[in-house]
Amino acid sequence: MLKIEHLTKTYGDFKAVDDLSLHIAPGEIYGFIGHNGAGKTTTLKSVVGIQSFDAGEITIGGVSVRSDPIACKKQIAYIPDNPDLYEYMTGIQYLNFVADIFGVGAVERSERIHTYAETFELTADLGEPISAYSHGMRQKLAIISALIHEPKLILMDEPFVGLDPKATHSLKLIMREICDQGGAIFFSTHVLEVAEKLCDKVAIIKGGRLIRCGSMEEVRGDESLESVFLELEE
Amino acid sequence: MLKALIKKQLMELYGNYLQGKNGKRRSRKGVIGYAVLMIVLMLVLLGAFSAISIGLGLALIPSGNAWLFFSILGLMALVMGVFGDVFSTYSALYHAKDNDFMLSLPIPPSKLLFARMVAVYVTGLLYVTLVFLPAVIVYWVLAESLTLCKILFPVLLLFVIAFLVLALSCILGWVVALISARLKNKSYITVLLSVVLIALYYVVYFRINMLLQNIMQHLDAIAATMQSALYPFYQLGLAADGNPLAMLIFTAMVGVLFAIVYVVLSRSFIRIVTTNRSEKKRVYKATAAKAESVQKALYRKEAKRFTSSATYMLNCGLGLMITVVAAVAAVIKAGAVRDVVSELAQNLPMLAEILPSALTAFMFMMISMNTISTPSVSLEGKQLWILQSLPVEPRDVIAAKLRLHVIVNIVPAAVSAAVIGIVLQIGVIGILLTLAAVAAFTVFTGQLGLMLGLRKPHLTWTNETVPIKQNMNVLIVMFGGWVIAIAMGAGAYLLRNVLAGEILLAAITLVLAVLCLLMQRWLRGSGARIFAAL
Repeated sequence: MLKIEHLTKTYGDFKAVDDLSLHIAPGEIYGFIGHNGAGKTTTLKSVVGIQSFDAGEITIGGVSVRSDPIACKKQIAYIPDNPDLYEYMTGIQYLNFVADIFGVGAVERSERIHTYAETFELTADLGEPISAYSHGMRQKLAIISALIHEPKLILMDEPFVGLDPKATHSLKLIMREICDQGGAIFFSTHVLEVAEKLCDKVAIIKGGRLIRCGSMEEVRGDESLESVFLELEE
Repeated sequence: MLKALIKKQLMELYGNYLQGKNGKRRSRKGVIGYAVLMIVLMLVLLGAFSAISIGLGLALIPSGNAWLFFSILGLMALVMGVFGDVFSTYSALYHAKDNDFMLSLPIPPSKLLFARMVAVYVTGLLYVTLVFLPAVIVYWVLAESLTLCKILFPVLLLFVIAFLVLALSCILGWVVALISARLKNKSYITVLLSVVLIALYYVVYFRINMLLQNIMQHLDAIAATMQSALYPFYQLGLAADGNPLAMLIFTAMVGVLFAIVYVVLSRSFIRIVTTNRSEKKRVYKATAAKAESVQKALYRKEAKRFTSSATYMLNCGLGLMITVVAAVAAVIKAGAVRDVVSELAQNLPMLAEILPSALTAFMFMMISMNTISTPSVSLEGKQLWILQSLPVEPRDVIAAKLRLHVIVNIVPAAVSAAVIGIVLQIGVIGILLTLAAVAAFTVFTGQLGLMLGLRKPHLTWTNETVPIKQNMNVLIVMFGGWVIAIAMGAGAYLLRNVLAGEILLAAITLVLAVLCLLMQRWLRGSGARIFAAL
């Protein structure tokens, strides 16, 4: 589904991502962990196509992000770490805007908006301007907008930040459901317990370099993910 | 703490002049270029107000009515300052994006307010200086004898009047904030109020010439009015003319007013900035969804952005209002307009030839004031990731921004041009050529604004007035358009015996059309690549 080959991104003299390679198969929830500034967001943004990279190749469903970014973007959804959405729109206007861009039909979008808005308890607020939303509500809206076109691959940067416990639980269920149906999810998180319970595979990045990746069992062995992570960080 | 707050406030208001792409520091050449452009702009405005000062000064100062001279110009400076300052006061004082952060810090509201007021004061002082400084210089030149007080007081009054501007701007800004906090369709109401203010301003401005003539005839009566109904300005006039007691009285009056405003605002500051809305929450009820094309969705997004912001509509759409008003006025005063044209035609036999060009030049000036597309890229700000992560071609995004610019501009401009053309009786061919030129120029300004916006974007703003009002690209499009309009009008006049007006108009339209094609090519190619990489 997603192949990252020898990805390198520099800012001036600073190498934010250094020769990173990762493969994510359909059906996998892939966790991406690392300390602040390790290169997680840079990697995610490069995959999404909102940031250029210096070397390497990224393909989604066999299509290169560089050569055909639009075809790649049609298959994916992205939820950034900070949901800055159009404050001059209402929630429903924003969802309809995203649905229009992805060419989601009227019937399908109505059903999906209804389903996900009910799941995240946002239905009553959809008529309100986004400027009046709390951080958590914006995050929920960003998640619903990401699900509206049934993407094959979802990239999430710290998706649980700001969500209430019920919404967090719902999101975990939805993530699993998407992957059970053949989709894939690649998300960054600092909450290692969540990664440990939710992810099929995990990658640990440090100073822009991938220092370990594989199935959860392979990475942590007999220890907890937290112990492994802290050892690798030292 | 106060020093840090003031520094941050000044950086926010004026720092963008030192910043280039994505908030990085502008190069030395860029800073110098900006400075030169600003100085030229200031000199042009200073020149305009100098003309008024010289006219009034020659009539009033030698006859011993210097106080009246200063009273009138002080009043003008105040109107100019308050008019220029009130909306930035609203944005800077009550509607700043960093309100939540600032209020979360252990900063007394009075200090936060004071720091924000300093920035507003500096802006107000700039406006006051533009009007009052020429008056001071004219006074120094024309006054019979100069004492220390006569030299010093007018200069000191610049700063005192700026305090008066600040106090009144704060009060008006407060009213705007209070109304705004209780309104649903804030942007439309704010635009409406602003248009009323602008209309009032222009009524006063245009009547000032009549007033100046009346001043000469009714000096005693006006002086009496100043001494009674406009007493503070009487004291201002006396103070500027070197009267120490008047200086004390006027300064005290301004000081007391400012102190009252400051204390009242300090106490209500938190309440004002934390009042989000008083209207009832609108519970969403699902309605039938309607799918639209990508292009239409992008266009609607741009339209929503434009109509949701009073600042955007007012600053980048002011020409629309004047265009419509001009057409309505031309119809109402059709007879008078034709009489003026007939009179002019007696001295200028070729007038009929250049009328279409003159009308087109006027329309160009109006269209240049509508810079809707220019800040549109910068206005994406922190939400740029949305368009960049969605499967849309950057050229479609750019096309949507251009489409809004053209659609909003072209209908009123075309109707207005046709109506005025009919009133001026420039003939069917003249009207058609004018319409063609107007259409080409509308597209041209839209594309030029987008080109500049893409090449010099400002995406790191915290207050939307930065990309809209403090944006050099906007000034370039507006004044560049004016230069083209003036050059075209002057060209039509100078070449009237060599080149038929229709041919000139057709040639200009052709040149604009070619430029539009070239710019469209750039926008779809390099422009789209720049947008994708922002």
